[in-house]
Amino acid sequence: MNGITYGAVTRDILRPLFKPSAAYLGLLGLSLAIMAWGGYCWYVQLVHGLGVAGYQPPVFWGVYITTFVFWIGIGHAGTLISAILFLFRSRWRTGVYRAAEAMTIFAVMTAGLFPAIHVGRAWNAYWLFPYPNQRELWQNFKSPLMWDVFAVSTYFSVSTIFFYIGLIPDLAAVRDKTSGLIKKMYTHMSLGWRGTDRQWRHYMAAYGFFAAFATPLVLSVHSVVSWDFAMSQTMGWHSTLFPPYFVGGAIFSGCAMVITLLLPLSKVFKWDEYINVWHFESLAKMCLLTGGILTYAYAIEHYVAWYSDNPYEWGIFVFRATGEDYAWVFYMMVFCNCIAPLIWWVKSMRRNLAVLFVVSIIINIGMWFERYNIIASSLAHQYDPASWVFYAPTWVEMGILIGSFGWFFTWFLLFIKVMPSVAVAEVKELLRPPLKSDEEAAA
Amino acid sequence: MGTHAVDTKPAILAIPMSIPGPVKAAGAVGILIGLATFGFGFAMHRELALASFISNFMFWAGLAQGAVMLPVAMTVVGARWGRPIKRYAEVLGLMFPAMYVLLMLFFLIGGLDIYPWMHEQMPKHKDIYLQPGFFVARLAIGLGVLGLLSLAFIRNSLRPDLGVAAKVLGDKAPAFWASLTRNWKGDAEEIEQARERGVFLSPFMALFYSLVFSMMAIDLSMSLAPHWFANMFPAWYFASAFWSGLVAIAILSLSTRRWLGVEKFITTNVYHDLGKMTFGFTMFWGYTSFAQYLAIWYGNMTEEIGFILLRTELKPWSDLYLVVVTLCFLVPFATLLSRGIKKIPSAYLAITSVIAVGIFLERFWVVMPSVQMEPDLVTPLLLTVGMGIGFLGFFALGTTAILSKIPAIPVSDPYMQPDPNHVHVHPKHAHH
Repeated sequence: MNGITYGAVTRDILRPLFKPSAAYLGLLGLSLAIMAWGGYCWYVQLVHGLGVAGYQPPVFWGVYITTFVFWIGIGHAGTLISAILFLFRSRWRTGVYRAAEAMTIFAVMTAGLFPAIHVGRAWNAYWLFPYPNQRELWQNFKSPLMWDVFAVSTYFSVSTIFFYIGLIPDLAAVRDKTSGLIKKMYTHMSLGWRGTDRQWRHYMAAYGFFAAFATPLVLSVHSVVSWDFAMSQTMGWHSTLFPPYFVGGAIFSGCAMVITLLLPLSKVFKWDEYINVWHFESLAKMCLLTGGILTYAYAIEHYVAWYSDNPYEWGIFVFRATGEDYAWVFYMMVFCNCIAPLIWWVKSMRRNLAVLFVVSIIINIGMWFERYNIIASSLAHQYDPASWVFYAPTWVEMGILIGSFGWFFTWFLLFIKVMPSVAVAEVKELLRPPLKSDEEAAA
Repeated sequence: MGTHAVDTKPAILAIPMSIPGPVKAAGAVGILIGLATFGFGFAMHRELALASFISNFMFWAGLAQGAVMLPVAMTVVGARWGRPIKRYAEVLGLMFPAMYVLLMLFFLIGGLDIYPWMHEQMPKHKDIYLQPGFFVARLAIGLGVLGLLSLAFIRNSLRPDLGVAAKVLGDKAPAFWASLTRNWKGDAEEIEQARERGVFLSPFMALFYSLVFSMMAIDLSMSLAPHWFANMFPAWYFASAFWSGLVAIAILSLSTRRWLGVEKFITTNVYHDLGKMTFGFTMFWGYTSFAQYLAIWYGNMTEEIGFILLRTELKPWSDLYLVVVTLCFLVPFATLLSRGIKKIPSAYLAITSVIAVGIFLERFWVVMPSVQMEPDLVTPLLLTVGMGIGFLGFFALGTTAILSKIPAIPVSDPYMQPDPNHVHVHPKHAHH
């Protein structure tokens, strides 16, 4: 980043905010179309009821819950990178954290749709939240599903506030580069930011405080999601290791998604100075660590099930790996999450952009399959063989799953257009300050 | 990366070459107390004495190996803040082979007798896994290889320091340094070679540590209650062993840095950073303990709940449980939140000592209820504490004996900084 001026940073990073390219509009159109397809599928379900999903007793959790957990997991990397790595004073976060944080918020927004889709009568989804009512009806607070409502909504609130705080100086930078109504909008959004010493002092204190506040939430939200399963007595779900294992998996998929999103972005907008192979390599290393945790968890889970000598517990693990219905799901999971990322142990491979991109997508596929493997197989193969069924998703469920990607990418693409996707102020902190001697030399 | 040249010569010249008499005496007395306790226990309460050994082994071996994992982890991520305390971690790691030998002796004197699966018919899978020969062999090999890897790591880290220090000390350098610095290729090359080897070894050690310590947790501790199982248990143990290592590094370095003349190199900022990490692992212990407890308590399943009920709801263990939670979580959580307190050496020493006692009792609280069937806490506690004093004496004597003969800080480390904040990172190098 030598020789780059403050002006050049602002110009380069704010460039996407101005004239949209044809490619951008094309991508946005595609995302909207996919979202519309998902919307249509949901409409079909709303009209005809949950019967259009592939549920059959006793399997009433399927693709929707799988996708809910998948998106919550994706939403982990943002706050991890922005808050935890901030506390660790890790320098590589600077280039990637803004986009990762935005990704977190949109991923949680996507996940938030799924409980409503899953319950069928979406217009009653507000019953999930406790509110004073004349009938004095309250939710079952002893249920982990209820804890989840609080965990996810707290995570969403804090991540959004933290995201916004990080944006303030950059919104002011946009304000200074625009005019008219748009300037007015950014003026309001930047909350009177002038960049004085006093403002920076308070700002940094607030940022540090929120980073510390957000850190435990990264752990808590997916731990609570994991308890949706672990608190039950269903075999293959009831596991003490689930909380750290889910958190590890969530960070794994989140970091992979950051690679998937930012690699094309940095190329399209020619941001090589700000997001480059160093950042992607660091993300790949995070994936290696969390992928290792995940592989360990898979192994220990199988091992302890074997060791337990509990025929039901061991039975479900055997079924997952050998039963004809779900074995391919299990092997997809193992290949995508445990084997494919191993290529990143080789330095040249984790610095190769094509490999980075492909493996990051494989990981995301694998992490969806992991949740599907846990959810579908355990319900389809419970204690009583008379209740064993085969659950397979219908086109409506798959349509909504695909549509959720359209919804997510639409938000992300809109974000790129209206907010700086790289933290302008923090990138400037990495530059050598302009000196009088430079001006003299230039003259 | 721009670095200030740090003059580490005073630290080399301050190497004492002998242990102070009082430490020697106290260490010897401690060891005698430990031996006497074990001897008495073995004669009078054989089962309890053997279980006390396991409880102590889980604590002391975990602490020794956990400590050496700090420089390993720092090498993996390229961290520099903890360089000044690296040697202390390594010296604690050198105690692990001794613990290994003691475990083998324990097997030789019939220690396996306390495991119920030695006397009961076990179901199919456990019958395969819990065969005495297989049990001893896998522990002997797993822990042995882990110990050897650690020795290689420590030797590699020590070599350039000894070579550099030998030039300063000349004839006064101890004789064994020569064998550790044979075929010296010159300072720069040696330092670079040690760095490269460390970077190569570290990820494998991290991997191996988690696997071997998981096995150790299941075998030595969990199988004492052979019908109980929890898949969190192994990770719960190896993460807390690492945590106990962090605590031990603080205690050892704070109590010896003045004697070793390295006080000005290990500044309060280092303890601030170490304290943050210790705080993080305190939280992690609380998190994993709670997660393990909650799933079992809420699930309330016959095969799991007994382990938890015995330890948390039945006296005398339930009282001990409150003590463990207080010492391992409440006290460190409340105190380590403060930035200032981590920078006051005496206060930080006090807090880490409290945590160490807490973890020691936690090991006891996990192991002992599986063996002690009477509602008597005093006898097993006295045996375990008595043996613990023996191990404390042994560790004090062992670590000070080693520290008195080698540089207590990594004197050849180019990134060895009294204060990591003093390292100036030029923007040009921001993306190394």
